[in-house]
Amino acid sequence: MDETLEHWFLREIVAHEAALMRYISRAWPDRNEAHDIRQEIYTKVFEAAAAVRPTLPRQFLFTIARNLILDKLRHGKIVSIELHGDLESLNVLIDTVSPERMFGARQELRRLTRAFQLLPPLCREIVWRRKVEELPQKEVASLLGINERAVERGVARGIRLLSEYFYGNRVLTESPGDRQPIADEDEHGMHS
Amino acid sequence: MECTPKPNRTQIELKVSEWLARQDRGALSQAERAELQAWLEESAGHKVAYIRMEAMWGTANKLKVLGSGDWRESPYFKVPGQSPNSSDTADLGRKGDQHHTITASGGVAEGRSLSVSFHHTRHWATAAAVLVVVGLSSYGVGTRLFDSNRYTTPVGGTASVPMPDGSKVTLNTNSEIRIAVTASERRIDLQRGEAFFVVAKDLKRPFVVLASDRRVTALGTQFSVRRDGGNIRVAVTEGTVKVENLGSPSPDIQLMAGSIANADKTGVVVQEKQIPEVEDALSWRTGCVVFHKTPLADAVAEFNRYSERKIVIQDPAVAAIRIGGNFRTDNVDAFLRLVQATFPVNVIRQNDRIVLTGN
Repeated sequence: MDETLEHWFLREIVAHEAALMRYISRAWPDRNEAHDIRQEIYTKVFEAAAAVRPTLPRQFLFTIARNLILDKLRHGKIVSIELHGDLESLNVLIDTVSPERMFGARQELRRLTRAFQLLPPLCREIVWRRKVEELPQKEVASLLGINERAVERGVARGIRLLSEYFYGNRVLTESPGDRQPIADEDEHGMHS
Repeated sequence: MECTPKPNRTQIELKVSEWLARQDRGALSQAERAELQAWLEESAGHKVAYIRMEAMWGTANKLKVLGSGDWRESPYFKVPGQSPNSSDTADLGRKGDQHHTITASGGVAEGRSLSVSFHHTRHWATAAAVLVVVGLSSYGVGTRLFDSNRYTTPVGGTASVPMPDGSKVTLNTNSEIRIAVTASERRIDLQRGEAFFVVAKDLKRPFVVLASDRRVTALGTQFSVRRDGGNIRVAVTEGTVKVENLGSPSPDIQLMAGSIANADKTGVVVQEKQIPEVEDALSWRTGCVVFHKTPLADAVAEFNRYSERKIVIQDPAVAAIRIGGNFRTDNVDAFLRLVQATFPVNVIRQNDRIVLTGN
């Protein structure tokens, strides 16, 4: 095998996350569940690919996505108008996004810096010190006058928020007001 | 299939981020490695979350371009007349410049995007409304962590420069700053031109702007500093700032919101104004200038800041005409048309300049 499953998964599946999230948010009525559905889809794709790697990963991803959403809609009582009337347009959407387009270097940097800018202040500073200045967590802690545990928590939070903003391209597709629920979710996560 | 269990995506991602942050601190012990391995083997759901977020943290290394590298590739600097999407094609060449030249901007769309970004930085600063002006005993003591970073705008350009502490600098036309952030202070050297600051609250690190021989200190506030050689103007829209004279021993001046201070070698004149009037002085942030009974000579000087093709007034009577109104800095022609239509003024367009005379 010339490539690990992990690398393949990143390159062929996660690369489509922004498009996948758009797809999910059109087809699934509850926006708050979009990332949960995304996680389910990834899990299914990963399990399938561990056995046999699909030759057309992008189509495979969106097929899994569509089947999973349809399945959920059938078993729930929710009817999504968009999905109901407009499956064909969702197919068109799939075909217009390629990994090359999503991860062009300049595009990637723009999304990364925007995601970075949206981090809460302390979190942003911790990420800056670690990633831009390459200071170890210990030094970041003494510099900011907080304990090392707090820096580690800040890093963890930075990773979660960056992932959400960066892969999902949330920054570019939603209004600033939509950002709040992420912070809330995050706070709950910290306490649970 | 009737009722799938509630996906615990949030918990999985929390756990993954904690593992990654732990690894970011230092190498895992053997026991920890085994624990992580076991957890990952538990389900494909754990694995996909780990793959996705680990890659994210790796990608974040590219943030380095914000600190040291090539700002031309930064999204903050857009080329005029291009939509954000098409700026993908913006010039990436001219590597090796010593400093960051920001491409000119100024269209209506750009003005709007600037004001939008202001809108959303404002609530950081407002949330940090308490203002403390600290003594300067610690000034300059800390070790420098950020290299001195230089940013410039060309004539007619504006730019927004985010700082790592969450503060934001907006540069007006033909301006140059150096940013230095250390453990003990955040310092901006204003070499020329004008900059507006939205300062994130940080009690431990004063926010200091140096302009000529004046030092302007603030914490958690919004203000601008404009430098014209040795003449300095400070306008405060929120909070309080302190202005010190470094050139001679004279008392510090406290400026409250609504103040505009004009300082030169000889002294400082402070005008107390209504906040909206101060905002007028800062209307360049949205690509406008606002005049109220302003002598034409001053209005022209203002426009000349934004254009290489200067307007020259050759008639003292014309220079003394007072005008009012709201103009776009990138539309000198509209301004001149209005002047020509309203007053006895001739506008003579020459190659490199525009001359105003009486008729």
